[in-house]
Amino acid sequence: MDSLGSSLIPFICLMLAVLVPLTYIAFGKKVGSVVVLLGSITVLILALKLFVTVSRVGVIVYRFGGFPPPLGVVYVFDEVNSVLALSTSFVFLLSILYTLTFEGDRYENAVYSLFYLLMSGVYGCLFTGDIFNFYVSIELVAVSSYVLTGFNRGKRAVRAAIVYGIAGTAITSFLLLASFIIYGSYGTLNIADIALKSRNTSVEVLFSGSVFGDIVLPSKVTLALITWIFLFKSGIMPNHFWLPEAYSVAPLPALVLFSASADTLGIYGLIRLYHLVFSSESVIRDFRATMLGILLLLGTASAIMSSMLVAKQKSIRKLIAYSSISQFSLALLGIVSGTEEGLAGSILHLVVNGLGDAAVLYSVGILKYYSANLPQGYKHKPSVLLAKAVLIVGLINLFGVIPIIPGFWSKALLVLGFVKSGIAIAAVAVLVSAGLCAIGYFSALVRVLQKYKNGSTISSTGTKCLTNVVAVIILSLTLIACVGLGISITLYSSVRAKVIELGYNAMNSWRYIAAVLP
Amino acid sequence: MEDLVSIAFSVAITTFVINMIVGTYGIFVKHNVIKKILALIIFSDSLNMLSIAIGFRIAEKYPSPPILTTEPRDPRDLTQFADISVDPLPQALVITAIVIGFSVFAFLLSLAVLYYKYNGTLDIRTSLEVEENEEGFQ
Repeated sequence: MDSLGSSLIPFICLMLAVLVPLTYIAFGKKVGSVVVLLGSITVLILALKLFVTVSRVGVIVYRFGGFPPPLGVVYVFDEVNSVLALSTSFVFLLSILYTLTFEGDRYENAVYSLFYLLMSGVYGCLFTGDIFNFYVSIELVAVSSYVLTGFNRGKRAVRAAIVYGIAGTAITSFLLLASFIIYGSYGTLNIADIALKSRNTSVEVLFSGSVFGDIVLPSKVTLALITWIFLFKSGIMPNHFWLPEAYSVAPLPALVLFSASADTLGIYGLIRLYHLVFSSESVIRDFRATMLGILLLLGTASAIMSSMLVAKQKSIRKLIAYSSISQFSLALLGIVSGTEEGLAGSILHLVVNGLGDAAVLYSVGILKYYSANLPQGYKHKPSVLLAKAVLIVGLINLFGVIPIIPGFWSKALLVLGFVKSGIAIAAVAVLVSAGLCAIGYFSALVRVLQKYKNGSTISSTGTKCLTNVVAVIILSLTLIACVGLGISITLYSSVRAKVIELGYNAMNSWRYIAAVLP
Repeated sequence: MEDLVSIAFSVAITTFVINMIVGTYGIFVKHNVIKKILALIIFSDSLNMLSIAIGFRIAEKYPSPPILTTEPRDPRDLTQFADISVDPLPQALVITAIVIGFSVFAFLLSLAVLYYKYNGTLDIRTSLEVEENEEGFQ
């Protein structure tokens, strides 16, 4: 029963994607907005419950229809996906609050439907224990991302959506091909079953039997194909061509959701691929080592090149786009390190990047709103000061140099992982990338503070009380999440141990296999 | 007979792979949006056919569809069914992929219409050049 509520998260999102427009049509905007908000709060509560339950009992498996694995589809909940689900749900709630308050008039109810559709896919990808179900969920994420990218219409938005849509559809089709190659050689689509057979080719599993013929070549093709797909999904250079364009035209809350949830799936998928499905014990361990070497080169080059581009950006959206590529590249290097600390740093870095991007984008959005709607001298308003504080914390979080901010700890863990595994080049890449990004972050900070220094000179319509309250809630929640996480990691060794344990659990594939195939 | 089926099967697989290569070429090399989408459809359909072929089996006389039609069922019917029927799972999965593909292609085609409306052309390259020049003037 522990897993029933959690397994409902993707379905609640899917149900709300349909219910929200219907509610808007049948009962009007007010009731529709309440449903949208309550839905996101419910999802956050369920994700929090999942996180607490998994921390207490370990891996949980939910079998759809009660079919014993490898028959049927299973959802597998462990520490890694429960942490990512929690951070994603938190950012999702912030996005819903922001859209309802600041962009509700601009976007119609379709945007909420697309948000829920996107989140349904994201949770599906995080929880699923079946490779074909992963493909379906990633298609759900992809389709809603294409629509959100082109949502504002206009020349640039349509072009960005077409480029993203065509390239994305072609590349996710390769995931379908990879699934069938796996099925043709392993006789199963269950991830735990594939992981077991890739370690021991002679094993006979009830219902799926043993492998068919030589699985070495199909496994190598699959590993290479899926790696390419995930690199595209997370925008690691040179597969990043769609990302800056999509980030510069999508609605602001959609951009936050891309960076905090949808685009982290590539890195999450690579963690599962290299440390669960084809781990260091698999039959293709030599080829895996070669691929990890390629990923090391790609990740290092991508981190440094995208950081150089961060330093050049004049638009905050493009800055966040290249910054996200840089942070995802560092998280990729954590996977390559193959150490507990490196993997823990990688997972924490995904969470930190999502929080940092949300802090920066929402504080800038709120400052822009106040600047347009309040008269001169608005800068001493407490919520404006709070927005500026959150912007500074968000940028410091992305920079990652102050210990009370979690960005420091994710980078520290990554460097520790690289030192342990003897990959000096990756440790240098973290430092160089942080230094280069800092130029972009601080020039953006100065520009934003300068730009929104004065209030409206044309007409000041004033702000509603509710808008101010929600702005304070969004900013306070973001600030508490960033600083609270950082302080708890800094002060409590038990929290640090828990974070490192994430890396250990991500690498402990036998525990995952034993939970699914008892 | 079995040799003939094997040859036909190999020819079919080769055709699907060639189609996929042609589709991939079109997606990444062609500049016209409609041509890109057509290439994507060719690629996607060839991939679906290849996936169904993975579930195919060469059985004595000929393979049967995965439907057991005998009633009442005899254990010998079940054994024979297991020996000659093709694998239904890839077919079931391909149906899902076709449905997903249908929605994506419909959306991409509607984007292509919008693209033509905004730019007066379907050439992605031309549109890019125009925008770069516009940015340059600013």
